Amino acid sequence: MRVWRFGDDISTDAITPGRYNLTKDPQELAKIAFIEVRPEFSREVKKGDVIVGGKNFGIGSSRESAALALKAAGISGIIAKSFGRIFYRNCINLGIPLLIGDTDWLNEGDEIEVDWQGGIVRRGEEIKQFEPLEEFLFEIVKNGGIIEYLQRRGELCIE
Amino acid sequence: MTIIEEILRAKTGEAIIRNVDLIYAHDGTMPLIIEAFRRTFTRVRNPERVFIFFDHVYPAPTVKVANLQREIREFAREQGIKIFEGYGISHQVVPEEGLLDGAKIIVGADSHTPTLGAFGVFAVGMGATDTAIALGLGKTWLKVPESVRVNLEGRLSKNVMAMDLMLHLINLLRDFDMNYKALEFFGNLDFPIDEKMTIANFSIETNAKTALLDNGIFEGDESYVREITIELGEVEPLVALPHHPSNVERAEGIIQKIDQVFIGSCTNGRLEHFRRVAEILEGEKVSVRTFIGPASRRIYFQMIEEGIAQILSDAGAVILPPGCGPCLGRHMGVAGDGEVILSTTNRNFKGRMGSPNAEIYLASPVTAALSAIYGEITNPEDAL
Repeated sequence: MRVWRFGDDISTDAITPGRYNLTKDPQELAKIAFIEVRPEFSREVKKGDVIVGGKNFGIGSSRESAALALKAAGISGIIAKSFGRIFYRNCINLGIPLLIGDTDWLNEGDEIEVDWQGGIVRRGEEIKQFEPLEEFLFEIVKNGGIIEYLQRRGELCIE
Repeated sequence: MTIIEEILRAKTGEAIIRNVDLIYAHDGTMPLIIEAFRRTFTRVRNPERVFIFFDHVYPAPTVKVANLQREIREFAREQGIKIFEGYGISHQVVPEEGLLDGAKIIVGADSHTPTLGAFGVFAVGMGATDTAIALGLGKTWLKVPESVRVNLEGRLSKNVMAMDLMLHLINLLRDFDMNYKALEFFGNLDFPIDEKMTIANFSIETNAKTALLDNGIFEGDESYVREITIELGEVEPLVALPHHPSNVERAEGIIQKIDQVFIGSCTNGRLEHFRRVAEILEGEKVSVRTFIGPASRRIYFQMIEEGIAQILSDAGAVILPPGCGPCLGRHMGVAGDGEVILSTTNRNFKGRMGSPNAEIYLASPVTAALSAIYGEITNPEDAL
């Protein structure tokens, strides 16, 4: 999977700017993902690519369109040093897996493999352990999101 | 115990499920909420404890927005949910219209929902799907956040406001990871409620999950992950420079011409703020575009009654309808290419208020009012 590398403090305003955020349609949202920060993203992103950020990835407004745009763009998950809390929840609820840890060693264009449940990231011979989502939350992601989780289980349940 | 542990009846770090006492959303977030809701539910659990506010892009400036608002009205009618149109910003109207009604756990589909922490309640912002789940189930999952305790001592100086205190705090917390943590304020909280709301509101920009002000009931003890004490008398007029709210400098020494001033929003759009602004603008004229954003119509009416609206208008400022105004770059004073905006709002990310080439500075209403007169960022300590 290809790494799309971002820095610190990438706000939801950067992911889906307010000016363009006038739609609910996931495909339209995917087209405007990072439109002002990395305009080539929406054209070049491939299904399964991974987004890697620094600190505070997804800070700012609660707009779920940011997570929705990235999901619709086909990314397989996001790895960052820390996440804006609402964005973190939005990703889990939409079924986007997340890992937390030191991302300094990952670069733009790197090819990596990720075990989202175990938190293991591999680049060639290098293997590093990241903090994965805890069981209850990964369960939601595994089901494809909280709506799908509820459709299958009928209610919220922390085991 | 922290205040949050007491309210949630759980320990820091625990994953819990709790009933939600109050849920609210606005015109910006409702469309996606409705979509998520319809995929799983047919009826809202407790519609009498759900409220919708049209505040973000209201009145509708385009056909697309008008249609989205119509959809929200249809959903509200179907579910028996009250919509507040033209009342003002959600976080302001909720307490003003008595909608809190004893609520202790509040979910709002807006990142500044924790503004209500000024009333000593646990209020968190959530996204569309989370809010839809809360609407359908009447409950939500939470992980109890760690809390950072902030002790306030002494008093703010004459020309210093809660906004300066918060800019001071966000600067102190710059290198501290506030993600997944909450801010709890203790000590000398003898501020008008208008300024307490500024404190809770701006806390979010430190990346805190939520904020609460002690309302005298809670003890608080050693459960805090960090404690900070601020001597209020030491806080000076401050400004957040582009493009992050934590990029703080003292107002003294900043030389920056400005093109537009906005005084208002859920951060600093209340009566106490406009009274201070009127004191400064009375008999003066602004030299740059100045927009005033009352957070609610009650505040707006009060401004008229107290003569504040007249003073501000005579000074050349334009009073906008109650709502979010230009804060998020959708309408009511969008920033053009290369423009410099001075705003009393809570965010100055690149592109936040319009053009990605605009520059946004954040400051208190006092600093902003003075700056509007001189056409450049002005230190209250120099001019007053």
